[in-house]
Amino acid sequence: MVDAAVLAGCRSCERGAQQRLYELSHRQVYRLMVRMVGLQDATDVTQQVFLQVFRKIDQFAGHSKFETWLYRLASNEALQHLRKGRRWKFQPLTQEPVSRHASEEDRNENKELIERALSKIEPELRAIFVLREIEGLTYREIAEAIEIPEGTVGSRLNRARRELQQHLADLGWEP
Amino acid sequence: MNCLEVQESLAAYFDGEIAADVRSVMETHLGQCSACTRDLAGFKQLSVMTHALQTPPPPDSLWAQIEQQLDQRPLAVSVERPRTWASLAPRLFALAATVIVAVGLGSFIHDSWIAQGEHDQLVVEFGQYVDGFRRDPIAAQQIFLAKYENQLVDPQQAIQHVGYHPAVARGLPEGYTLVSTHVVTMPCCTCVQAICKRSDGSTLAIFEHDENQTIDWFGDSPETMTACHNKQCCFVQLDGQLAASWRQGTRHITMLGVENVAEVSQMVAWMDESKAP
Repeated sequence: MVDAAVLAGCRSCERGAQQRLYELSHRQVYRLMVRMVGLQDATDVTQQVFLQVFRKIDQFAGHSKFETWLYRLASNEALQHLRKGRRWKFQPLTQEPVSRHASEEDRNENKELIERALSKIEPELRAIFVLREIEGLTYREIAEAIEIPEGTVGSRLNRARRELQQHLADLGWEP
Repeated sequence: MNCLEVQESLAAYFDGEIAADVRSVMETHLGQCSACTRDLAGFKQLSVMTHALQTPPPPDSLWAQIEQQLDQRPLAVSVERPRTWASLAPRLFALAATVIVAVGLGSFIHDSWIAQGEHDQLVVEFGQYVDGFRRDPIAAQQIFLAKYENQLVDPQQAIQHVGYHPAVARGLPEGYTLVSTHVVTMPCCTCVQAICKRSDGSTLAIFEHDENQTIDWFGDSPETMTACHNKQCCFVQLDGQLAASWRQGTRHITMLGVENVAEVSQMVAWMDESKAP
């Protein structure tokens, strides 16, 4: 966990403190970016997130956990990246792939299908779903990270899950 | 509670974010309603699938890149995004306005002919590969190889399968590492596919095949011709990803996951300068 000493060091632009903050938190930021913008762009966007963190560290007032503030910056950076025209778009599957290695391909297909389904829902819904399901944030933390009322987190997760299920069904997934 | 009310709160119930008294009422309803129970099971299944997703570790070089940026620019200045398609797009579109888009990936079609249905399937399957490649090149590669007959080869020995030494047999430019080389038999052609890593950990795929074979892999995707190291290269924008193709002697090279025109120019120059054995 990022403690007060590390944050104080970052406010003074101490490189050692910045590196410590990075070491403590870069995995979760990168994981979120892989799911939000894709593997190929995750490194670039993660880099931008940490540059923003170090630039804006004075704005972190300590009203929430540092990690929640970090997720807010990361989510904003990912959404901004996607708004700049890099939103994923996929051709629908029209034919069943030929399977020669059934069990391995089943696993890969499930993974591919959920990733494809994730790519089809709105980026903000995707962020909320990923923050809940992969990062394990509470509704309050998600509300702070995405800057939406806490009362709407549940309804948006409802919508995200139903849209994901619909996209999975459209892609040929069977429970 | 009726079904509608339960459905509205189902996510909060599933996530344990609901008051105890409401939870109790919902449990009573779920005990009697197969439709709502089925929806709840669907949420659980989705959660299991999502948790099964694996994320590779960030590249080791990431902190060094951040540190370099910190050293190069004052923190108060808004940061510039390096090597993104978004930054490249205006330049390419400007080029598109002045260059005749006559010869592209889709026009590298020669004597070899495949049925339309088979061609459509190939475009769809290659599209799936492209989609997956952007998000997770390793997983996309596994799926790609499961679809077509292939053989993992030493690049030096690929000549035994395709009759020529592929470009990657002569190594790669500095900053690139060869991960694997496969000879892949696709409906359109037999090609040599090389998976390469850049020093930042990102992935590039290089396909090479004989000039008399068809490679209409990108369907109707818009194409842009531009000169790279004095060679006309065809760029295809693939929804946030860039592919490039060009003629290299008696063969065609197609690169997937390229960063920009400069990278293609570097690769073309390197292939031009390295002598075929």
